[in-house]
Amino acid sequence: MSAYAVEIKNLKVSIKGVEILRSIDMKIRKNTISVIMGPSGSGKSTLLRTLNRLTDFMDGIRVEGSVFVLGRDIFTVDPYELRRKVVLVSQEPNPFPHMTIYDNVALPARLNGIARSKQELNEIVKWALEKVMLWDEVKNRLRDYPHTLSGGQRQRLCLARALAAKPEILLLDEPTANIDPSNTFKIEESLRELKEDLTIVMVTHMPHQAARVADHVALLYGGVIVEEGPAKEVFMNPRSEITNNFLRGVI
Amino acid sequence: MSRRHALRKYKSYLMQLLMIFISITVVTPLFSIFYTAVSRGGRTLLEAGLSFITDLPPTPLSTRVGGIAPALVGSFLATLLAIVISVPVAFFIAFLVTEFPNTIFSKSSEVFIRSFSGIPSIIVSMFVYSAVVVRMGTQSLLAGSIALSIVTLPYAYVYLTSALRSVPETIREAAMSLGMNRLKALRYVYVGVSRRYILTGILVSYVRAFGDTAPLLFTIGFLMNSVFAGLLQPSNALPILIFVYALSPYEIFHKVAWGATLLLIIIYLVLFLVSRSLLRGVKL
Repeated sequence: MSAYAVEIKNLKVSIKGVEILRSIDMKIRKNTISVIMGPSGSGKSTLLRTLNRLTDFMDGIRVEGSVFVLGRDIFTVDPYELRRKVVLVSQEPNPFPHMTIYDNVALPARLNGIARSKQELNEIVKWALEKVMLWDEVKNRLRDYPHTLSGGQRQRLCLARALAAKPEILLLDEPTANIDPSNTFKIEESLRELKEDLTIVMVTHMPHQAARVADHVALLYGGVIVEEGPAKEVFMNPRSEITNNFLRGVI
Repeated sequence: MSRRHALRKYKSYLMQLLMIFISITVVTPLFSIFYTAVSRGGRTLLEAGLSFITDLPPTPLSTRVGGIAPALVGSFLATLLAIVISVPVAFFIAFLVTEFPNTIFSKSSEVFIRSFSGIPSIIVSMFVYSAVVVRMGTQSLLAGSIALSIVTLPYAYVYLTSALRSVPETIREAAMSLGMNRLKALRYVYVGVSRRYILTGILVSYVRAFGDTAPLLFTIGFLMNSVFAGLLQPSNALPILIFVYALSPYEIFHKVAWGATLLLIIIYLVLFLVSRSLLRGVKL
C-alpha cells in the first residue's frame, strides 16, 4: 500500500493549444494538507481539476502524462467513481439553491449510498456540519434555503456537502478567497482536524494561509513546479528566487 | 432664456407629440379589436350565462345561444395532449444539446428544430392529415394533438434549452465534482435549479398551442353533439369553432363566435399573465 494519495508523473495539460501545465511531477502523502501556491494564472486550478478529471468538461483540453490517485491510474478508472472519492470544493460558494441546508448535505450521502436509513442520514448531516463548525449556527434552521446564510456559512456548507460524500481526497480551490477572516479561521480549523481522516489538497495564492495550514507546499509558476517540500522548510529557507519573490509578495 | 434653449424645448415638445401620436396609432387597432370582442362577446356571455361553457352549441335556427362545451373541452384536451407529446421530446433534445453541444446530433437538432418554427402551421396540418387522419379514416383529438405538438415543439425546445443553459457553471461543477453523472445532475440539480424556467416554458408552449388554429383545421374535426367522443374520434377546438361559425350565414352562430372569441382572449390573457409572472420570479 503506497504512502501517497496522489502521484503525478510528467503531467502536461494544454487548453486549445496553450500550455497550462508543463511536466509536473509531484507526490502527495496520505493524511496531509498539501498546498499548491502560485500567482493567478499559474495553472493551480487546472492542476487541481485534473486530479478528479473535472478537466474532462473543458473544451479543447489535452492531458498527457500519468496521475495515480489512491494507487489507480485516473485515466483508466470510471471518472464518476473517481469524483465520488476525490471531491472538489470551488472558490465560489455554490450550494444547490433549490435545496434546503439539510438536503444540500444529505444529497451526496444519499446518492453515494453512504446512508441507508433516515437516521443514518441525519447522523451524517450532523457530523458533516459539525466538522465545518456550522452545526450550532444552522441546527434550528436546517429546512431553510442556503440563500439565508452568509457567504462564509455557504462556503462551509459546501465543505460539509463535500464531506458528506465521504471522500478520501478533498480538493479545495481557494476555499477562503471570498470570505471573511472569522469564517476563514473556522475552515482552517476544520481542515486541521479533517486531515486525520482524509488527504487534503488545497490551492491558494495567499502564502500566509499556506503557512498556517500546510504540511507540504509546492509553488507553481508558469505551469511548472519551481519548488516543493515540507512547509516549514520552504517558508524558512526557500531555495528558488521565484519562491522568495512570491513569499515576499513581489510576484 | 436663450434662443437656443427655447428651440431645444420646442423640439422636445414636438417629439413628445410625435411619440403620443405614434402610440395612439399603434394602440388604436388593438384597442378596437379588444373593444369589439368585449362588447359583442360580452353580450353573448351575459345572455348565455354559465351555460355558455357547459352547453352544446345551438342549431342554426335555435333562439337560445347555447354553449361551446365541445370546443372548450377539445381545446384544453388537445393542447394538454400536445404538450404531453412535445415537452418530453423537446426536453430530451434540449438536454442532449446543452450537455453535448459539439456533437453532430446536437448541431443538426439545433438547426432542424429552430428552422422548424418557420414552417407555416397549415403545412403541418396537411402533413398530419395525410399521415394520420387518412390512415385512421377520421379526424380525431389525437390527430389534432399530434399537429399541435409538432407546432409547439420548437417553442418548448427553445424555452427548455434556455432553462437548462441558465444553470450556472459553478452549480454544474458542484454537481459533477460530487460524482454525479449527467443524468443524476439533471434529475437532482439542473431541473430543480431551473424549475421555474421549465414551468414557464411549458406554460408558454401551452398558451401558444391553445390559440393556434391552422394545425387543427384538417385534423381535429368539428364535434358538436357531445362534449367528448374519445381520443380517436373527432373533437373540436375554440379557434376552429370561431373560424367555422364566423363564416356561417346564421346570426346565432355569429353570436356564439363572438362569445367564444372573448372567452379565448380571456383564457389566453390569464395563461399569458401567469406565464409572465412565473418568468419574473426566476431567480438564480
